[in-house]
Amino acid sequence: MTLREPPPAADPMLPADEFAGKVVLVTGGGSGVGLAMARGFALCGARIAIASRNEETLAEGAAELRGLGAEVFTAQCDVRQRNQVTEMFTRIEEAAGPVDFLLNNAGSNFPALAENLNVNAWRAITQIALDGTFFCSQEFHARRCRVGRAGAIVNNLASYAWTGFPGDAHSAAAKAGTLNLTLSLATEWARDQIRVNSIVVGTYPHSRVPNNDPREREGRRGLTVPAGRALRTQELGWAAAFLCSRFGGYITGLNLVVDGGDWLRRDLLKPPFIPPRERKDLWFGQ
Amino acid sequence: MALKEPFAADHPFMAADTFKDDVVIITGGGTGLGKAMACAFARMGAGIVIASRNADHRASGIAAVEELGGKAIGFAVDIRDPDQISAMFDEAERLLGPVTVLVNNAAGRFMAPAEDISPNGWRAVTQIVLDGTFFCSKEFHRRRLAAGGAGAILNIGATFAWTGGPGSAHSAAAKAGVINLTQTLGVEWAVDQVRVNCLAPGYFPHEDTAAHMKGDWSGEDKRAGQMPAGRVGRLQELGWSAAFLCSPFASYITGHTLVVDGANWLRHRASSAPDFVPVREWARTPRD
Repeated sequence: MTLREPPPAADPMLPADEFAGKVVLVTGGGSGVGLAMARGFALCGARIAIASRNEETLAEGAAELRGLGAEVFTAQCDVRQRNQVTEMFTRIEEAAGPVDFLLNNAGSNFPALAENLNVNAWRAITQIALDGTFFCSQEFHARRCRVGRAGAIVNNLASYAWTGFPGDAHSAAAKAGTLNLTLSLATEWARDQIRVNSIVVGTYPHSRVPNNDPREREGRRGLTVPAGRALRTQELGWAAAFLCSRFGGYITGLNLVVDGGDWLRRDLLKPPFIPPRERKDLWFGQ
Repeated sequence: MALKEPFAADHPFMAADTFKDDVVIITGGGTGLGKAMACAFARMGAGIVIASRNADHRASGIAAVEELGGKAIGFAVDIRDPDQISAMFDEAERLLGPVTVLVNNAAGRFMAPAEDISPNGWRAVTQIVLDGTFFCSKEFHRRRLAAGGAGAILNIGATFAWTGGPGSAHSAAAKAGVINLTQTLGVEWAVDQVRVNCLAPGYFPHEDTAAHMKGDWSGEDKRAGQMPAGRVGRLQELGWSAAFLCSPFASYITGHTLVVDGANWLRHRASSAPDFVPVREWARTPRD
C-alpha cells in the first residue's frame, strides 16, 4: 500500500476567505513547486503575483491560476540582481497592493560533478537560490516594516540541504545556506511580525526536473519513497498555506519536511555505491 | 512588537467535519496541552478518549470536550503496562468505534541534576515518555493493520531532544528517543498508511502546570520577553498544528517533527550570555 491519497485538489483546507485581500508573491511561480504552492493560496482567496525570468512560463502559470478564479499579476525578474528585485516588488505592489507573503521558490538545477562545475555554473545556481532568497526577503521585510504590517516567508528547500548530494554540490550548498538563513531571519525578524519558515519538498516529478520522464510520475520514482507514491500538487499548497496562515502564527524558524519519509534511513544495507563519476545517470545513481 | 496574537480557539480552521469519522486517544489528555489538543480534535467532530491515571484529570478533560458539544470517554491507564493499553483500546472501540488517531502526549518530569536522579526517578520519566509512546503506538498500529484502515500518530517531543536539557537529563533523553522513534516508525509504517509525526512545543502556559514544575518558571511576562516571538504560545496554536498533522491534508508528511515555538530554540545572540549557572545551583530540590 501507499500513503493514502489526499483530499481533492479543489479543497482549500483552510476557510476559503483566509487570504481574502492578501497578496502572495511567488518567485519561480510559473511552474513546478512554486505554481503548486500558489494554487493553495488561490483556493483561499489570495491575489497571486508570480515572478520569473521567463515570460512564457509566467503566461502559462498565470493562465492556470486564473482558471482557479484568482486575480494574477506577473513580473519578469532575475532575483540575482538586487535592483531588479526592488523594481519587481514595486511593479507588483503598484498593481496588486502590498505583498503579505513571500514564497522564495525560484531555483535552477542540473546534474554535474563538482570537478566539472565551472565558475559561472556555480554562481548561477547558488546566486539564484541563496542570494535571490536573501535579496527578496530583505526587500519584503523592508516593505512590511514600512507599512507596519505582519508577513510570512516560505523558502523552498530540499533534504539534501543537510545530507549533501553528490552530483549536485552547487544546489545542495545553496539550499543549506537557505535553511540556515531561514533560522537567522526568523529570530531577527520575529519582533517585526515577519515569520520565516521553509518547506522541504519531496519527490515531486514535474516538467522542470532535469531528466524527468513524466511517464514515470506514477512509476519508479514513487516506489523509491517510503510513502510509496510521489507528492501530489495539493499537498504542497496546503503546507505552504498553513505556514503563512494565522493558524501557524507561532511557527517561525521551522523547516517543514513534506517528503513521505524519503530522507530517512530505510535499510541497514544499501544498493552498491557507484562513484558519481562512473554513473550513467548522475542523480539517480545508475 | 510580538508575533501577532492568534484567532480565538473557536475560530473556524479546517472544515468542522474533518474528524467526524475519527476516534482520537490522547494520553495525558485531561490537562494542559493534552486537553487543548483534545478540544481541537473535538471541535472538528472527533470522538475523544482521555487516557490518564488520575480520575480528576480524566473528568476535567471529558468536561472540556463535552462543553464544546463533543463526545469523550475516560480511561484509567498506566501506559508503562501494555496490557492496560490493550484494555483501553478495547473499551474505546466498544464505546466509540475504531481508534484512528493516537496522540502520545502523556509525560512526567521533575527538575534535578543528573547525579540526583534515582533509578526509580529515571525509570518513571523514561518509561512513561519513551516506553509508553512505543507501547501505545504498537497497539494502535496492530489494530489499524487488522482493520485495514489508515491512521495517524502524533508524538510530543521537545526541543531539548536535540540540544540536551540540563536539569532534565531523563526527559531530554526520552524525548530524543521519541523523535527518533517517530522517524523509524514513519518509515516502517508508511506502507500500512499509518503516518507518524511529532510536535515539539515551545512554552505554552496553562493552568494545569504541576506545582513541582512551576518553581523554575517566572510567569508569562518575563518569559515572553526572553523569546524572539515576544510572547508565549497560545494553546489553540498547538491544537491547530496537531490537527493539521493528523488530518488528511498532511497526507505526505510522515516521520517529521514540527516545532511550534516562535523560534525560541534557535540561537539568539553571538555570546551565550547571561552567565552560565551550573545545573546544581538551580535545579536541585532543597533538602531538609
